[in-house]
Amino acid sequence: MSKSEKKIVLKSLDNEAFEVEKAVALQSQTIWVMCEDKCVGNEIPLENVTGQILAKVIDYCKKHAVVDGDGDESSEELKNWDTEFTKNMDQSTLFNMILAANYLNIKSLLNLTCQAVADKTKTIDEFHTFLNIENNFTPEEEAQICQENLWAFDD
Amino acid sequence: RLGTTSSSSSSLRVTKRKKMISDGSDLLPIDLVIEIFIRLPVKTLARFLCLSKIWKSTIRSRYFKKLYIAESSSSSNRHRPRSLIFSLRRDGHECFYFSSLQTKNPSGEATYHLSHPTNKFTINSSSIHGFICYGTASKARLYNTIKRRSIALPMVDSKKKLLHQFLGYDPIDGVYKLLCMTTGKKAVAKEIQVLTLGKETSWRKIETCAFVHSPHFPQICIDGVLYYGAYYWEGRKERGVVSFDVRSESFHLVKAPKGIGMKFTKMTRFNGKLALMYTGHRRIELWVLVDAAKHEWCNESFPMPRITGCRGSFEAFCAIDETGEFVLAPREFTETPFCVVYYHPMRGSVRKVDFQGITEQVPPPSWGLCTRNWRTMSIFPNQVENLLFL
Repeated sequence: MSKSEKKIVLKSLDNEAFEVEKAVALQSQTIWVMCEDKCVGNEIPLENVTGQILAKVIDYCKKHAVVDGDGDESSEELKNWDTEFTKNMDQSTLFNMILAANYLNIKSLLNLTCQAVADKTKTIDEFHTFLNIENNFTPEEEAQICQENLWAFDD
Repeated sequence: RLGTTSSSSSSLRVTKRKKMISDGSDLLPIDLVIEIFIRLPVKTLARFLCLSKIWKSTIRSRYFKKLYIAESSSSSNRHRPRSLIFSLRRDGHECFYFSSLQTKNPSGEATYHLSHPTNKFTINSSSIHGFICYGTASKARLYNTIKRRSIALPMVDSKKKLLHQFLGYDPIDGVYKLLCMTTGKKAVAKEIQVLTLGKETSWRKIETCAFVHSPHFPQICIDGVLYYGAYYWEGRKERGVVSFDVRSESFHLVKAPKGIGMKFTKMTRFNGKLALMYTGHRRIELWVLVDAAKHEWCNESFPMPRITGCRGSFEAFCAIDETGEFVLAPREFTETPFCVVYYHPMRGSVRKVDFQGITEQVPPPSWGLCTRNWRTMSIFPNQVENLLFL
């Protein structure tokens, strides 16, 4: 394999280009299939991902391409890195990361970002906002459901 | 920028087009919201039944529950807490159940769940997804460690007092089933009955198993197959393992490995397969099931570790497949605090977790004086949260 074949260029929705090692990019099943089918050249357009999000996705893939497959100590380190990675992301970034991980089909990143939202969002009100839905129960119905699940409310 | 992903008609798109959530959300497609929901603790989900009508029925659907269990039991899931359930017996006639998170901390916090008297008529079922099945034929109960409540199970219609009851989970249909057998002469299994939890209100007799056997301990459920130790007759009494496919409700007999393999006292999951386990004086012996149809087992043997700061003899109770560790505990203890040891034979690492005050949490004996002799009965690892009765 020549040197140029080891690299690949990913182009974001807003035309930002990222040159990355092939091994890094191939963690995305979507990119893997594209390369396998030879339906693209060395430059891959990713129409659903912005440059800002793609940069983060590439950071994640770079970290995981280096460490995966090593012993337990590094897997522990990787876990801590993952925690730090999502710690300061706001909800809108996390949602865009989820969409990107889903589109690019990177299972471990999808796991990580979904878990981060699940850990950060705790109250019913937060979920009402984030799902953009309204509580369509009558007060009686709601009381009834709470009554059936009292165990979940006793802390 | 949110909500811009729905219109792409690019042929490069590999994942199928997402159906947007019907009651208003344009933020994430519903299947990705479900991906988030299956990562919430059961307690949060129970509160979220009040979110809206559509979410109440989504959370209660069998599809969601199945997905939830599959995600939390998946070996690639490193973020979800898992628990050990362990049972300890006091003075030979009372059994106590506790649970504790499988953490890396050197001191553990155990939660006390229940106690019941034990004798040869009481049920001794292994735990799965935080359920504990206990009691007697006429008074069997199912305890849920997540809700910390128990329900009464339907009475078994039988004149026989001695029975075996095993709990299994079928991951394909996402259902829990209890298998019940009464035993007659020579402790042979008779009157085989099944109860599908949450669906059936009475026991259903199933066709008797094609081979004569006497059910025994131990037992485990792995990937929809319930295994239990048994005796069968082939000229003379032999030791074996019976497998019961929870979905098809069919039985199969596997002969136990010859020699020391017949002495197995525990069953565990090892490299995704069933393994019989026996702790000798210096070694942990495992027999991993290679081919059930050919009765083929593969023996693996590991040295027992040196455990400092603890007296008494230790036994391996189970393995944690995801980490490659064995969970060891003292066979018997008196005044010392209860502890478990996580032992990784490949790395030679030994990690001891002390549980302070565990024996103090339990109610004092009703019969007055007790000698405070404790025995470790069983340890069930990797308990994930169930949402059966949500």
